[in-house]
Amino acid sequence: MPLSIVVLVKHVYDEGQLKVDAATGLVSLQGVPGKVSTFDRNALEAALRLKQKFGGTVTTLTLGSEEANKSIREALAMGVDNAFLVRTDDLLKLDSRQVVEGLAGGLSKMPKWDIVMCAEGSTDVYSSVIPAMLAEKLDVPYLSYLRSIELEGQTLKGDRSLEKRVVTVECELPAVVSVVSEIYEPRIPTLLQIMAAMKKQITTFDFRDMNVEGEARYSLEGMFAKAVDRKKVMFEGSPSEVASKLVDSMAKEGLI
Amino acid sequence: MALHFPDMGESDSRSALLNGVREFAERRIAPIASKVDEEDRIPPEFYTEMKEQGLMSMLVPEEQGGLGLSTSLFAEVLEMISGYSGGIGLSLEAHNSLGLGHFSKYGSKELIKSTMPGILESGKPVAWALTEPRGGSDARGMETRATRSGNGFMIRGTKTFITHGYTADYIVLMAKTEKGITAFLVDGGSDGLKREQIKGKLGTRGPDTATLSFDDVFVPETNVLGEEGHGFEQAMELLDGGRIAVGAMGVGIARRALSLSVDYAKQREAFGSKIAGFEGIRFGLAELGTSTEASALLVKRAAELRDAGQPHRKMAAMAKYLSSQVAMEATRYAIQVHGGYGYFKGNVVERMYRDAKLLEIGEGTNEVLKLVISSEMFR
Ligand SMILES: Cc1cc2nc3c(=O)[nH]c(=O)nc-3n(C[C@H](O)[C@H](O)[C@H](O)COP(=O)(O)OP(=O)(O)OC[C@H]3O[C@@H](n4cnc5c(N)ncnc54)[C@H](O)[C@@H]3O)c2cc1C
Repeated sequence: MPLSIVVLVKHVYDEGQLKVDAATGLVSLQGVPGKVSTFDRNALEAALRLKQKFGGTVTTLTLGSEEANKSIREALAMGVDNAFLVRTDDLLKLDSRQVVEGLAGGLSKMPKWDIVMCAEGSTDVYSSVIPAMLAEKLDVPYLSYLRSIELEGQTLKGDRSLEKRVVTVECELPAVVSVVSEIYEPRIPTLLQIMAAMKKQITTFDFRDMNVEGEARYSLEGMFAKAVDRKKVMFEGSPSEVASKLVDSMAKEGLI
Repeated sequence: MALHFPDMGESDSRSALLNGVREFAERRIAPIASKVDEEDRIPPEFYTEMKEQGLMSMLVPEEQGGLGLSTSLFAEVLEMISGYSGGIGLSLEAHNSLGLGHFSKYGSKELIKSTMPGILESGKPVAWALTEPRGGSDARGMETRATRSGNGFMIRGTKTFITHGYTADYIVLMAKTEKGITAFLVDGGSDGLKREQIKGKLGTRGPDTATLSFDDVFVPETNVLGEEGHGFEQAMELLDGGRIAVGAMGVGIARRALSLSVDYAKQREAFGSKIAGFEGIRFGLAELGTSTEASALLVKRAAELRDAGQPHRKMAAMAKYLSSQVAMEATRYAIQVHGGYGYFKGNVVERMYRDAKLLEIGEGTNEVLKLVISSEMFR
């Protein structure tokens, strides 16, 4: 049975290019370029590999502004078949519930799906709550933080790493899944795929048509960079002396 | 042929393409660059990977099975790659702008139809042979002869310093017939062709370099590229493009050398403070940053003229002339900023310094470029 996989793709501010005002500690988003949330590419890779194995389609779903088309085209270049954008210029003003309802609204406009594939978190906010909330909203099971995925018939299986052990979890489709970035290295699209992706259609809906009721229950007031003072301890001596001094001092700090 | 994307602005598609190239350079080229330099060898599997990536057919028009990139975009791709590996940059430059570029532009319809798919499928670079042992600058004075014989030509002579000459399946060769210099597509498996590898390049190590001896090598009439006697003009036309590409390599090398220097200066301390704080360091970077951007603009301008079908011989020569010198100066300064650490193998700037030197020699030495520029000025 061919699979229909939807991957959530988010367009985020490039965290490497955020500027912090040294005096106030305020993070400015002014002029910071956007990019695809890095971990989404691992989720895309996982979806594309499932498609390669079982056949079917991979579709992306994005909630964001027109700007997000850049990230969507990156996904298309990787081999995604179809792309949906639920358009809003106010992503930062939405709370998680509204985001989830917007995404669920987008999903309801799509053909029937089997798996909604998510990354472990987005590289900007990294709240990691969206997949769980979305599963709840859709009333389907949620397998989180998988580092491997297998599919047998309608049963989806995967390994989740915990601190000292690995647990294997499974559920029936349809389901929401989140994967950790270690699951696979994302493929590098070829120049031809990038060029072809530029010509593909992106189906766009307006967030306002998604029937998301009510106001945001929390809002983003501003972003501050947390100053972390480094201890800058220098050790001297032979490599093995330095190593044992380092270990001793980390033990003293309670780090190991 | 320029790229057009109906749904997206030209600049968006350009940046998407270049982002893809950057990712390939960072993830696939950077990790092997030092080994490619050390061994003076690019593994065949890597050519296959570059082929799949689209890098081995960048200037070939779409209808011939290539990507059909504009000169401008091609130059930017080379710029990006050459910062990571001058050797891989040179390989892609020589193959795309000269060897394959010449064949694609001047090969007959039938020859393209019968031979291009195999070349593109093989992912192997095509060599381009103009220079002879007795001199490269005076290309018109070449001694290699092609004499009529049956339904083709017999070739006699020697070419040297030929990039990819040792391994190429096909060689674009310039030789003199009674009508003048003529370009031929020579099958690498031809009887009478002897290849000798030239080892020990200073920089741009990776692609092989060879001396090719033609001792009565038969080439069929159908393998003449363009018209008999027009090979020199073709070669000069190709070199106009090649010089833009070499100029772009210089920009890429200079840009990366400077950015590595900035990174290093931010973390290296001397006299109790970061060396990045010293005006003596900063001013050199400011000067070279300015020269680099100036050469980038010349490359861009020359590329735009070529894409628009406008005369660009002078601009192309100027672009390579300036950018090759800037690349030399920028890499020299980069080693200076890195101090002793920059002087040793294994440090990227050491390799870049060696890579940059070729740019002042290949595809017209800087002296020859000054001849070209001044003769255009005195026209
Ligand atoms: C790594 C590498 C790869 C190469 N790849 C290729 C290739 O793929 N195909 C190919 O055909 N060639 C290739 N070449 C050859 C290259 O193009 C020649 O080396 C170059 O054109 C110079 O020729 P030459 O070495 O014979 O020097 P010469 O022509 O002997 O020049 C020696 C010196 O005299 C100077 N000079 C010559 N004439 C004048 C003049 N009129 N006025 C002032 N100064 C002058 C030159 O600038 C130079 O400084 C390659 C060279 C190198 C180093």
